[in-house]
Amino acid sequence: MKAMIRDIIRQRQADPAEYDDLLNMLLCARYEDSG
Amino acid sequence: MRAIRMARSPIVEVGENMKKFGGHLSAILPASQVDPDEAGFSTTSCANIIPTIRNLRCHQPRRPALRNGLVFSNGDYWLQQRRLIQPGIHTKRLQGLYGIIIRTIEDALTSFPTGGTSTFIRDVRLSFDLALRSLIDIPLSADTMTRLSQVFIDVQSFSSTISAALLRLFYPINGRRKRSSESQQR
Repeated sequence: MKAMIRDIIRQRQADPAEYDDLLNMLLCARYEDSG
Repeated sequence: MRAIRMARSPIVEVGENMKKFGGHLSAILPASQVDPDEAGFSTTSCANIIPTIRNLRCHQPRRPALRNGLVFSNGDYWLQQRRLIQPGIHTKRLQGLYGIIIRTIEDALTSFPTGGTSTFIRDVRLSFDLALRSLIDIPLSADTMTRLSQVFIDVQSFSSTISAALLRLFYPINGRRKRSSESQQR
């Protein structure tokens, strides 16, 4: 299961397409001063 | 006393809490000492549960079990955590997420049976599909989906069995067994 999830994350990070799922939201989450 | 009332009639208890906190869907945790005015509940929105719990958290500094995440933190630390998720979660993406949910339900409806057939298994599978596609919107093979859904169903079944056993322990307190036998007699 862990390997499958890691593989999905790797695929997503390499994929330039736009997604609206929660995984994409998590991967886009980062700190920025402007909030 | 509050815990017993919550066990006996959770909806009534939550309703009373909502009146107390100006319409907020709120949870008063055991041993908490919360003043609604001091906690800053000024609006009347039912959708404000996260700030409500966050405000409760700030009055309960000795709750290590709740951790110090986005929901139960406050102040500068909460602001920093909130900013961490800010770029990923905004209106456009949430609208897209609704689209995923609608598409998943429409897919399920195309093969939905008519007549008096039990739909329990299909309902469980639809719940799983909604959770999975909301999390990862990529096409997976039918075999992978079936294997993943079986894990989901097993976990759900396990948790139902455990919770049913635990709930039975509270029957003498919440009177559910008595009410159940009375309704059977009727």
